[in-house]
Amino acid sequence: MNSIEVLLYLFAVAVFPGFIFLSLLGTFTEWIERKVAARAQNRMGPTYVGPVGLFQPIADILKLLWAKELVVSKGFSWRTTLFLVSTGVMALSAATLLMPISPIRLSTPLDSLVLVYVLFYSTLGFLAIGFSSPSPFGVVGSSRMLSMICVVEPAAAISIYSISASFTGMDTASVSKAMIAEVGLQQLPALILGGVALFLVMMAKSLMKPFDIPEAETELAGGIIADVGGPLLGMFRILHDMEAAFLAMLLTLLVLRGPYPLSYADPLGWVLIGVKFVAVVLTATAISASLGRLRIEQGVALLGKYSLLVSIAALGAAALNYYVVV
Amino acid sequence: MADPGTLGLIFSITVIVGGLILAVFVAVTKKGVRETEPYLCGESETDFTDSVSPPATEVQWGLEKTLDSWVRFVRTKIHTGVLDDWWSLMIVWAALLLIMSLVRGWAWP
Repeated sequence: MNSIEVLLYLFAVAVFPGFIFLSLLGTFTEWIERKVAARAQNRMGPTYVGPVGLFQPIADILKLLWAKELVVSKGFSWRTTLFLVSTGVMALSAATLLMPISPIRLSTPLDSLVLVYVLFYSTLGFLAIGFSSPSPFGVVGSSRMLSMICVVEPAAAISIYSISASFTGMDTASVSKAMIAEVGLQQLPALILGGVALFLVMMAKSLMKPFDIPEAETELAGGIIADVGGPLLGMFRILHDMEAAFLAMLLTLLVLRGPYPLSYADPLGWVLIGVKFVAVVLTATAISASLGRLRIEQGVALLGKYSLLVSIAALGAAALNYYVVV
Repeated sequence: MADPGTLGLIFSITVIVGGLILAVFVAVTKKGVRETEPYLCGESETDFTDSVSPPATEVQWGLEKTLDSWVRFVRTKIHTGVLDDWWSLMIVWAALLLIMSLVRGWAWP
């Protein structure tokens, strides 16, 4: 890398499509979730800040970031936790550089596995916030999250790998190349199966309704965030929103093929990406607003059946495509 | 770039350094809008780490609680009401003291 490339890299991580863009997209995602959930429950949802309450999530987060930290107990190492949550935020920001919307694109063989590795930092942030808490609710929330991780992370890894492998081959499996590859009939089985698995992974990792078991408000008083307030809660909200936005964007670009049938060169293609993104978020929110929370063993069983097994089927389809068809 | 290891390394450095910068930024740039003390039934939170020497009663209570099972074990072994039990324990104890004194004399004359 020369100096211009380094500057471009830093710009991409910090501004577009990294931290600032992704966090704004995350607040927009949260706004859609809150509006749709409110509609389903016969409420109005956010209305106060901005047109139709569009800037309400931003105002909420800024208020939390500017409030002084509420030190609940001497045993709560909130600075360490803040660092771990911040690494999660930066990991999601850096991972956007694998997407075709980035001005600088880092592409290597097997970068799907690098993406899986980087995505784990955000999960670590979620875990740290509960385990560092002195409250038993936080610890119970994080231990529930650990149970879910045992199913969700392998499902995420296998589905991302198998979709990438169906486009670029089992030994290459480049997620950045798979996003811009031409889609053919032979990729469809792995794409559909992997897409279903990835959709459930998105709902589980961004703690949407049937899978919001770790933060269960009514049983655990907020679970992993039961004892958290101030800037740490603000950073958690940013991480949570960015996770949802990132995974919805990954689904849009990888599974729904971004601007397909148009191209990235076409301005209408970018509009189409936006429409597909909103469609993904709306679908997930509609499902989440119409379902109740599962118990932890039900959640793990459901994710195992419809996310992990389906992702393994997608891997089989990708392997069949690579070793038999091609 | 041709190596996933290099990509992982670049991302790791970005994540650690960026996370550190972000955490320090958020921690340092507080606007100080609102400060809420923890509410514990109207009392302030006691910091136990401040007192260097804990009260003797607390130490005694702690020792009693810690050594409770051991004390019970020894007491039931000695206080059987049989003189021979007490006598054999004392012989073992005296033998242990003798060995310790011999070792002490041999090692550091």
